[in-house]
Amino acid sequence: MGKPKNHASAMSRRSFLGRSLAAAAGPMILPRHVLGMAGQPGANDRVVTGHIGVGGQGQYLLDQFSENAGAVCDVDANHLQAALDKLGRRAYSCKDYRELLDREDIDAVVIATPDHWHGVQTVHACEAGKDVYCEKPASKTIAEGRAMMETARRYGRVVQIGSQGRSTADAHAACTYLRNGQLGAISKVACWHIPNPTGGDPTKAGEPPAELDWDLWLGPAAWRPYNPDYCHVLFRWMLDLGGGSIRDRGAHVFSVVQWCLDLDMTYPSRVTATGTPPLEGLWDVPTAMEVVFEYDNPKLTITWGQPGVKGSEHEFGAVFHGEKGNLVLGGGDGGCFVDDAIRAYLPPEDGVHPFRSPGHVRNFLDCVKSREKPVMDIQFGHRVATLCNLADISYRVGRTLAFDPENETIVNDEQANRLLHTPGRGPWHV
Amino acid sequence: MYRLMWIALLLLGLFLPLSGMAAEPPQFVEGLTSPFENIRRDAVQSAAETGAPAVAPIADLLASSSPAVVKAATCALENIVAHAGCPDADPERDAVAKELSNLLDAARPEGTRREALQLLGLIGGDSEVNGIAALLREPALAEEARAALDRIPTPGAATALIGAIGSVTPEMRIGLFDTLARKEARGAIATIQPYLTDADPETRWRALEALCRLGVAPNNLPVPPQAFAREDRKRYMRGFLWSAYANIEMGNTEVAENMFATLAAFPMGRDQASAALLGLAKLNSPKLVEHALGYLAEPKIRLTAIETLSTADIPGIDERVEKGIPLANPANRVSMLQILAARKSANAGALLAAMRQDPSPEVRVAAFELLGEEPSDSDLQETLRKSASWNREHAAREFLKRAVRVLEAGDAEKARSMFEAVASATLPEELLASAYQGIARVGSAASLQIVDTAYASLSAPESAVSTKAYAAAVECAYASVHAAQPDRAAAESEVRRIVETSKNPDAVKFALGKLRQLGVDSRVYARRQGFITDWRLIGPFPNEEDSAFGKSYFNEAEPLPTDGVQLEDATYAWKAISCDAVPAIVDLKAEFSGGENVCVYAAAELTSAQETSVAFLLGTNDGCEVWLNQIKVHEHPEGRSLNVDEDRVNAVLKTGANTLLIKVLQNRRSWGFCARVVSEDGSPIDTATLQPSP
Repeated sequence: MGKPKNHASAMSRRSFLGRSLAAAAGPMILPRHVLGMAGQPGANDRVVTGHIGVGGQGQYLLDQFSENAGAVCDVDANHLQAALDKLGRRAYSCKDYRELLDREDIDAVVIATPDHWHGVQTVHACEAGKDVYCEKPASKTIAEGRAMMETARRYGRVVQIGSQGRSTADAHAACTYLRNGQLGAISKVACWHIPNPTGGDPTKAGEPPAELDWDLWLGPAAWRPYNPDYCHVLFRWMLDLGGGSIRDRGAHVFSVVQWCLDLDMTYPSRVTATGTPPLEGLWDVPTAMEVVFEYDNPKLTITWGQPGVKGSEHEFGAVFHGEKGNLVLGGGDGGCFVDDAIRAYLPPEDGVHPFRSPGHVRNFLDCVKSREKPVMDIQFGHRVATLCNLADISYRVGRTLAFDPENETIVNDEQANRLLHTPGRGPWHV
Repeated sequence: MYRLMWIALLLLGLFLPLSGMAAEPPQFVEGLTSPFENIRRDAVQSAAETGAPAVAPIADLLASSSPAVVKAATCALENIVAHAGCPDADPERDAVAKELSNLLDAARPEGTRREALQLLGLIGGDSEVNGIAALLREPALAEEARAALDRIPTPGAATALIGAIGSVTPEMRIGLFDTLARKEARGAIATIQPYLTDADPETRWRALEALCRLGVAPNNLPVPPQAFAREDRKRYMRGFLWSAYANIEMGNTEVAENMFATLAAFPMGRDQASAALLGLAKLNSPKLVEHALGYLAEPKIRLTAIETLSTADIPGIDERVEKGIPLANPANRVSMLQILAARKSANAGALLAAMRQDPSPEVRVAAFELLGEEPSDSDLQETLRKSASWNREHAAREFLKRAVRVLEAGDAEKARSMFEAVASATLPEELLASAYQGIARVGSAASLQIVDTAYASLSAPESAVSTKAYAAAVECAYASVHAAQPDRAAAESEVRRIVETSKNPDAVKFALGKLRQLGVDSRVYARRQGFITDWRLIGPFPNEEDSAFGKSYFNEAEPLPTDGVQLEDATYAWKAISCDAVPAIVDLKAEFSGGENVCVYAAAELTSAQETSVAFLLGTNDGCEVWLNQIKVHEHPEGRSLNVDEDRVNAVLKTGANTLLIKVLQNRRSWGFCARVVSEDGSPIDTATLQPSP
């Protein structure tokens, strides 16, 4: 099959602007009683969100932001219609997120596109003056994560990454328990996850369905023909698109582990990843995977095992090994589970009292108003994603990486450093 | 060991062509085509150590019609490249890169050339860049060629990209601008500059943006700024920010400072104004002070202005802010006091003490609070009426806290007036919702006018996007206040209105409670929908490791043990409950104060005037077992969330008394159930006919 013209790069900014202006004639999203009256809500009282990517997780987030959502955007017309149906009210809709970013009536964007879009869209949103709630993982490369963080800081934007484990009661309980030294020093955290699946049919490659703009779905990702087996949802099982479970659930589990052990500003010194590449089917993420993250200060090892040793009945989770015993945390995303004894623990008044998030979305909306940093600020999101991305690089080059935490580069390994960045296709760069 | 083997293979590769013999592919290559996965996997592993001599034979397999062979060949090539890319493997790297470069030959299939380009991005060096750059002119491979050169970090790669700018398609040229900017290839500036006047507008803009990223100031270009600014001023001004940060990287902080200051003076939107202030703060520029002070009244920028002024290490800030206070409006005076307090300025204490007498209430409130003292109620109330929106919101929060304290201390009348003061102010819905919640708690008929107005506004056309929380709070307040009016019939009618029309479950629940207080049988609404409202419960019985399913704690096939159940040392008694919620979900977690790994039985007596075919619609969390008249009619062993009407159980009610018995299992977390009775066609049967009130 021949390679089609790159529509994304073919579209000029001028033609884009022309369409934007036309689009601006659509419904304006105005908060209630914009001018404000005594006894009535005042102007700008509500954060209006624009939703980029409204399939799957995007639909869930539409529910979460149901009272804020003012615009929806998706490259799949079916997703877009489903989102409008869900909202049940007039809302601006578009296919190209740049049109949404051009709207002055949108305060913040909610990004729930496939992983390969997160970096570009977050950077563009910050440059357009929008705050951002972006699904995890923050990035697919370390350079992308750095660009997201730098842009957020340069423009003073609030960026929350959707590793919502930090906003759950049980993760908070675990964090409180561990940070108050109830297990003593932690020497090892063993994360487990079921193996990645194999499958996908390479022969399904063909023309994309009429409702889907395939070129725009791919965006910055390297061109390939449409195949439903790596499009919606299933992109997770391609190394360069979703990166497998370590970038999916790993971004959840590592987030909670980092938080519980106060490691948000600490990187491992060495990372070793091994895995079994599938030799059948379309997908290319390793089926089994073992990763060891070695920290020097504190002296600690975090491991990721697929399948690893299960600590509870959950598909994934982490076991904290301490001087005085173990703590099992099942899950790590919106569902975190610890034992009742951990939940019941109350720290002393002068002990460590970690921030208790009122809910991941609520925390984000609060921060949009207060301009404080959210519980899963982009800096932490980037650093969590860096663990996943380092594991990916180590697996791909097949050797242990020594990591320079200051410069976020790999020591004395030029090839590995080439993988810190992935060139974007067409006009899609960070 | 493998290094010796590799050298031997390399030497072999050198001599074979001289002797006129064709090179035999390494043996393992055949394994890549095996139908057996374990053989292919072994072959993939072997590839790494064989290295360069294996590249071409493996690449031949990329054209195979078998996806499994292509995949194995791809993995094998990736292994070779990873292995040759080891930090101490320079000769291997060069040899593998050379072999990959040979695969770019036009005689090779496009897929093979694409794969080679991707791998060269990971291992190629200056020796390969010209071969790669030549492909920038081949439309089918240009993107991959650009990506490969993007990854190759050598100066030669940048030079090759610059050299290609004039000979590629306009579309690719734009891509080259981006790549060169990312690579910080400042040697590209002279080559890119002529494209600022290109006929294609997108080429012009992308040239401008690339130059800005390379540190060129947008107002220092060989074209007049108007050429861009007129077309898209915001996009043009963004260039200043890129250029400023590039100049910081280059150590040209003075240049960067001037650009930030330009942006601060002529921003195109709040994003750029905030960014300009943050840039000036990063440089600790004295220019920050005047610019930031100018933004103290801008709602979307003021917090950035306050934060940067509060934390910047710039001499003279304290004095400048102090000097500005007498001239500032009240809202700005508050911000300036906050800045001085955050900076712990030497004069902050004295200034704050003096400001407690300021003519403006919002300034007095701020002064008291920054000194750790409580502002007066009257100052807070005045601030609610007239002040900057952010100070008004702050006053509302504080006033609401005080109102709650007053209510809890027993002064309902004063609390009511405080809640009403907040509800009468122009505030965000979340704060108004809190005020109406307070009014609902007080429940005084004196609040009729304010709640009626708010309630009426809910159905006004422009209020279509009211938050659920705000609407629920207003509806609760409406129900509560009307329930308190002396005309009982009118009160009941208005509270019923909420139950019958509200879409907010919280408001319905609240109104049902008010109906109960008015002496109304509040179960009527749930009953009309067929929900069974009256139950007797017994338990909780143990359910360790899901043992309760199928286990009898009394004989369910016999009439109910009305006197209770004795098990080992424990005695269990029935307790009657009534549930008027709509839907009538019985919260067992609340009824039994928590509980995990347990179960209870719930029994309902249903009296039917004649034999009737019905269906029970059930929802349980977790699993359940169900008996009708001592006969088991349904079960669901697995744990689950509660979904109303999830299970349908067809049954026949006999004439007279019928006993419905449900065992509701509990593992962890939520626990509850509900049951509806409907006729065969699904229409609800009013359970008032089956469970008449005493």
